[in-house]
Amino acid sequence: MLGERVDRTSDDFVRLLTASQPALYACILSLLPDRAAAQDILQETNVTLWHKAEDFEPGSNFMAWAARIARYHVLNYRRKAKRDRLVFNDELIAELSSRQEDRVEDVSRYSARLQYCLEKLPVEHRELLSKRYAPGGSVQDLAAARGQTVGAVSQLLYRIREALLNCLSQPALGDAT
Amino acid sequence: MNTSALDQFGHLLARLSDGSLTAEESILLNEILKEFPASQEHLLDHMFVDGLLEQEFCGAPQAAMPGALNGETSFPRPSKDSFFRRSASSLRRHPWRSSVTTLACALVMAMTWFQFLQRSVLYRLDLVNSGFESAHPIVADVSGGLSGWYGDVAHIVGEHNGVVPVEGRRMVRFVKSADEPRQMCEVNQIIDLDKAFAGSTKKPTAVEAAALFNAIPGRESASECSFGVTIYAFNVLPSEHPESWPVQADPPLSFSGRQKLADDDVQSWQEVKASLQLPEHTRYLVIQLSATRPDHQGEEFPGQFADHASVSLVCR
Repeated sequence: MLGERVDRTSDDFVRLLTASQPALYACILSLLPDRAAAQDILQETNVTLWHKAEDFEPGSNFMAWAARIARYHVLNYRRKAKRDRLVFNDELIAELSSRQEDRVEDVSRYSARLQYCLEKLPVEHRELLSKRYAPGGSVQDLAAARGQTVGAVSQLLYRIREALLNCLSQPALGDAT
Repeated sequence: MNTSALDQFGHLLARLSDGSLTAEESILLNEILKEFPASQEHLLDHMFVDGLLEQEFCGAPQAAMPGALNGETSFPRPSKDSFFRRSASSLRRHPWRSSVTTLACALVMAMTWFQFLQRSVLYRLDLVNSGFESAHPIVADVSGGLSGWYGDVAHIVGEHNGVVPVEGRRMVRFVKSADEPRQMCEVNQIIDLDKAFAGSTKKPTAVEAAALFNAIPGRESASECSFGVTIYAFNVLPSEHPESWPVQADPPLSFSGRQKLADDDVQSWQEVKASLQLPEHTRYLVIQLSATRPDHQGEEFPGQFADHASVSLVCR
């Protein structure tokens, strides 16, 4: 309803906030490929979302609103961070941020389809992903355990992610001709 | 982006995800992302999947519930030791939630597609030797004219080691790369859009390209090979070396590609499909079919095949 504001303690807002965590983190990581920093920024974003809950219009796109706030925190972090810790230069981050803003629908779709696409992967690839992304997991350790080079494992993980991306980006319905 | 830059980009993206990108590699990545804006979409996609996977297998940081705040100004920070692994069952606790989300996404996609189709027409474009039925060999370049398949060493073959062409009597077998990098073998075909739409008032706005791929399981794990379809859009014929498109050419206006890991099922063919919104002034398309493997165990690809290539243009 017009003028209605969200109560930060409402079930709906809490549900939206918690459901958005994986996608929010992934958005942050896309712009700031530093996992420790991305985790910190997610925390800061959550605080802001919480305090700004009354600004959120019920029925509007929560992910778009939350991701916008997350981008502000990313840019703020970059202002304070040492240049040599940043992967993307200032010109590029502006372009990436702009592109990410246009991709809210993709973000929602990818998140919704992740489980389905993971189940379509070969079992050994799922196991490889679970080891890579387990706490403390690293490509170096995986390579040592498998008796392969770091480069080979790195490339294999890359291709698995690409395969997942191919699945995630499929339209929900079949092609129309 | 030429093939060399594409490979380099993939390598850099892998190292970015690994957290092992060096300062020099970071500079190179920035240069590629700036020079090929389309690669920015790919980076955002790939790193987004990376982030989702981390959350899936490592556990999402807990967003504090209302009662936990109690005046605190920050959420509790999970230590690395306290990460919990989220299992698929955790998402299945509330199946209705994922069902509603899936249904909503499907409805949005259906409405978007329906509205798009109402205003658009799909034209199937005839590729030369799309089914690889003609025994005319794959040439190294197109110095004889911009038609037909050209590229690395690839042979038109019939049934081969248990792999049967998906249609007709023949298919293409990826044999070996003609130059570096040796891990990829590709065949290309150039499409002149002006010729394809000569005399027509229709204007193509998007293109879809697809092909079917298969691999024989063998001593080299089929699952470590991948197949790809890539579309490049150019606005001019390069003044030099059109035969080397898209490897050594001016940067394309845009490109888009999709890859798929080969499965171990020789009885079924895998489809890889790519699509590309055409930039204004696109004149030429290069459709590329490729097979890639991690390390070349021998000189020849052991058994990777493609068949039934197709291209469709969306026109308004």
